[in-house]
Amino acid sequence: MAATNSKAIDGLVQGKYRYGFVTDIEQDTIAPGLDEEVIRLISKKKGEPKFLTDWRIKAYHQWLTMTEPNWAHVRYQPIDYQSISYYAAPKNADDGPKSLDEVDPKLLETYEKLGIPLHERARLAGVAVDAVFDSVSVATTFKEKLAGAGVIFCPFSEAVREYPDLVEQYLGSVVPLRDNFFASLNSAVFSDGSFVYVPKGVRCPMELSTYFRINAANTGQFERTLIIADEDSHVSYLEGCTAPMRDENQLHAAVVELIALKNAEIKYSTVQNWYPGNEEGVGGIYNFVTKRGDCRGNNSKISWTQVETGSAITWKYPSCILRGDNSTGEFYSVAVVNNFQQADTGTKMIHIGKNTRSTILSKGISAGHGQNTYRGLVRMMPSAKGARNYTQCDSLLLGDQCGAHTFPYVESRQHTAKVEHEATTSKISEDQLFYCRQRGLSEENAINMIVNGFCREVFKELPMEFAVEAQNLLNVSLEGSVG
Amino acid sequence: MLQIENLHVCVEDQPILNGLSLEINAGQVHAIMGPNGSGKSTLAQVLAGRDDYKVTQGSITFYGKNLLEMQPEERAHLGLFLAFQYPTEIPGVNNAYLLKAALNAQRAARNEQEVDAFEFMNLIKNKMEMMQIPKTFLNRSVNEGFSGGEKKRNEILQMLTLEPSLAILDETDSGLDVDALRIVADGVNNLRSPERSLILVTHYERLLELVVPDFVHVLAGGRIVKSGDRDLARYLDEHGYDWVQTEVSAQ
Amino acid sequence: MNTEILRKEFESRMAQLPSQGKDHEFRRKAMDAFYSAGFPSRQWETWKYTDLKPIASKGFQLIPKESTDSAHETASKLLATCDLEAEPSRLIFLDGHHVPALSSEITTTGLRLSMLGHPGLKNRSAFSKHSSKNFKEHPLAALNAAFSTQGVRIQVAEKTNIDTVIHLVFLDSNLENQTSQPRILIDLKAESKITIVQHFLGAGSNSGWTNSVTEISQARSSDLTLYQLQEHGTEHFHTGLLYSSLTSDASIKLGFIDLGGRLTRNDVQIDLDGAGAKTELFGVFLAADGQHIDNHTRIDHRAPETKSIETFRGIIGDRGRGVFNGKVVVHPDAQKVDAQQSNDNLLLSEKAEIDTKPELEIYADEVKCSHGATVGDLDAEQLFYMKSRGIKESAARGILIFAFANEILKLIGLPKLRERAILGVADHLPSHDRLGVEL
Repeated sequence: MAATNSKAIDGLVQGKYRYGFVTDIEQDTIAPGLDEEVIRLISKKKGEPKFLTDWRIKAYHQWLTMTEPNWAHVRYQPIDYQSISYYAAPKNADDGPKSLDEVDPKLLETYEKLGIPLHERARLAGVAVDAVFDSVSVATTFKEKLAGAGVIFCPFSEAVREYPDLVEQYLGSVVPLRDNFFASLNSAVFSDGSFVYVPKGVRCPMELSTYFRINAANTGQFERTLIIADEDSHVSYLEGCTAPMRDENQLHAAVVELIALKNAEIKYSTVQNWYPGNEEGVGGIYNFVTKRGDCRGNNSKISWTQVETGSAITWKYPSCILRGDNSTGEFYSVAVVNNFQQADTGTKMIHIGKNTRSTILSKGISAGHGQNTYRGLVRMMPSAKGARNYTQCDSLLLGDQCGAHTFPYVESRQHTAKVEHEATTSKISEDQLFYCRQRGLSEENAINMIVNGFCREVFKELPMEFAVEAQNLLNVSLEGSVG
Repeated sequence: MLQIENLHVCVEDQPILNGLSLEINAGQVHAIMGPNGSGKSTLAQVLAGRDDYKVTQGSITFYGKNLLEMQPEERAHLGLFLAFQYPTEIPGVNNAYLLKAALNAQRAARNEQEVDAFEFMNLIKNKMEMMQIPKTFLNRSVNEGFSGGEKKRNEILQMLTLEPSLAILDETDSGLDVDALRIVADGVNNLRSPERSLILVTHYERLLELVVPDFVHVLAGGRIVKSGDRDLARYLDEHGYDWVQTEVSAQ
Repeated sequence: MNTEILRKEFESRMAQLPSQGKDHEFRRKAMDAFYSAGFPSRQWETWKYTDLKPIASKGFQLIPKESTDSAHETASKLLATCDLEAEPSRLIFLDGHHVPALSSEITTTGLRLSMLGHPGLKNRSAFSKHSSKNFKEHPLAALNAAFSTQGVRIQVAEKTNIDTVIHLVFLDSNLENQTSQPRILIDLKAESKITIVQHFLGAGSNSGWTNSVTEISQARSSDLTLYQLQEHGTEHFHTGLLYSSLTSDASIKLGFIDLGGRLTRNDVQIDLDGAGAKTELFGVFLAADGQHIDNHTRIDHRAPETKSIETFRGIIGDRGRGVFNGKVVVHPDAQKVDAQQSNDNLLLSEKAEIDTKPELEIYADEVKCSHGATVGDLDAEQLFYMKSRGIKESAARGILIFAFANEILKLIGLPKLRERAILGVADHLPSHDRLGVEL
């Protein structure tokens, strides 16, 4: 590519991180370090029942026996787990705000700055928001309206108090406490997150959304999200994430569990924009996340859509266990790395039920010194008669210092199942660039437009509000482009 | 408007144009004909600013400015338009979006007011009807899955919308049936005016029956070897290019 | 067969191993490398789907005994089935030993063949400059280097085009626990050209183990075609590493046909080290009746304008298991690389299994790389279409399976070898599908 092109690419990828501010707020923090006492303290602070305290302790002992995974195509300095603080909360949140009026105005201001106004009157109609600030949920909106429909949408810690039976029944049923190093750590120390239960036959009347914000220094964020869609129900859930600009790396190790019962559908969308570190690769979030959905009932469907633009390192594989007959799993992903970001992301589709279907569409964009890896598994179990998978992984390279890697695993033990996988890697097409420029577009705009087009199939899976944010993150104008 | 003097061009060290000169004034229509491999498309691509082509000698002046120093988009802003022989497919970018973005980029460069979505639709409505392009076309990705004829009509739609002062049609007639050729010709004729000039690069005479040129040039061996009026095109159609080659080698 | 026992065996028998100059030292280095790595386990990412325990747990005779008369009789019978075009240009190895009596005299200008371990012939070292670099990744190649008793070094002089096809035939006369560890070193000087066939052929159902190493060095603009036809007996184990390093504008065409054996693992490592080097790599593997066949290929594009095309097809029936892993790495500054890979697999029965993993690792931007993989049974539409035209099910299946394999087999440039491979595929089709194929 000509030198002029690389200048335009720099313009594209060097958009400043807009969410790097710090909120100066009084914090209740547990001193750095991790032992059984710390876990008991977290559990006590949250007033948890015994089963949960025991569960945490069990996870902690499991974690002690495990070693950090090293198979991902990422490199980082070893993490000192004793230097992290495992709990941070805005001080007055101990008892939990009863309404928005009790929420610290500084927090409300924070969310205004992030573009997530929590006051109902100012909010986008039709989206209920749960805001998680460091370790605790600070506000959940539209709760009453949702309750009218029978939908439970609340902070995880509240669900533990109010609906302990549901939590006990489903927690760890998709991601067991011994699942992997980071999931076990999360199971031991998780702080807060969102809980959703959609009862039988209910179509959730609005989009549910959680906005995660890391604010405190030297803390890890370990949220836990549990979404249960009972028979014949439907829910669409969105999450967004931001963090201040800090020189040290911060660990984010979340676990998300989705359960879809018979005929239920869960759509889970993420726009992940944690602080990616600076141009030299200093600082940024380590985003080591376990996300898994269980299509437990027949004809159920779980759809993951993710736009990953942030984090210094991303390690996540939102997956589907297609247990119910005729169940469907989907994974739509755009992952962008620039500067020194590294992403190792993809999905697992485990086909167990008959006639199960899965679709994987992954678009990776690498720029700067970024390293972008798609890692995926499609497994057809002997019981998965007539199952189908289609996978398409495309990588686009912007610059000669970055990398794009594709590691798909296909395992089939059922001859009537069909798997198709295709992958391509290339740089941006000179022909397309020239065509756009001949029509009068600047090189930068032409690149924006082509990159946006490259991601379009994924963007169109996002709810409208998020599609806008996602495209803005790619520095591309939405206008008219999403048809 | 456009002066090409003694133009020499190489592709991968292979000389393609060897001293081509041509002058085009406002309002004129020039046809450039020639056998395969004579350098017709190379000329079109060089004018539009494709950088795989290396100009080793000569000059091109457009409105008194050195065209060779300009980026492709700067040439477009000055009113130069190329209807591509093989229009590129751009997956995921819809047709209407590209066209509107291009129109506004050019308007902005000329300090003109940009158009909004509503004005844009009004602007292209008649042009689409003229080119017999259905509305659904606008929401499809640029040229993706288009037939050959659809691609060519789409190029002309873009030309009509961008209203260039110099349009170069690179074999726009090739692969079109009679009806499609008529539609394309009507579109081109509609754009003709005393201020606008056209370069028709073609292999056949049939387009020139519908879009009548003021000048016809024959390109062979990378140079213009013969110039005349429309009768030259007819003669070429009847007698082929062999005699030109013979004449050239005789010189 | 633990590493300790192997090392002791090595120490006590080392003196009997054919060695030239520094070869003894080299063998010891190889033994050390194997000793520290051991047999690769399934914990290794590259051995995730193939378990070597069936080999490691057996007491193989690593230094083969002298062949008996009855072995020679079996060998002659096996050879009689081979009607391959280069009849006069073949080198025969039996149960781990070169057999001059069965081999042809090959005297071609520009071609030098040196047998490993034959005092009568002019000995050459059994090791090349590439030999040790694979020890860590491929411990079995180290084991081969330590114990190998047979092999050949093939050198083609500059600007020489060898018309004769060289057939290397490795016969196994069905001795229990016998090991054969051939080393084949191929050295092509600039602008030379040759075609070589490696044919592994065995009979019966006693378990033996072939552990081969082929090392190829290709100078500028040289051109190598190499086919490997593997037709071991039903209980034979086969492991092999083919390593090739290509300098500028050199090209290698490789075809792997795997039909026999209980467990087969082919490792292929191609280093495209010089600008413009290219490789065409294809394979057909057929695993039925409890066979396990694993093809592991890795192509490293280390220079600009290098090119690779790779196509493997697997046919898995009965309780067979197929594994494919194709890795393509484009290194920094290796611009204008073109790399295409595909792996298609037919799963023909309830108990059949396939694990495939095409991989791309790309560190340069001006590249065109793609891969594709498919897994599934025969196309129901196609089957129905044929049946509606009056073809019975078993025949229709046979025709479709055969067509699937033949699209690759037709890439074999030697007519008689191609024919043998085609017949071999037909012979090895799962029994219920075999009936349909009439050739």
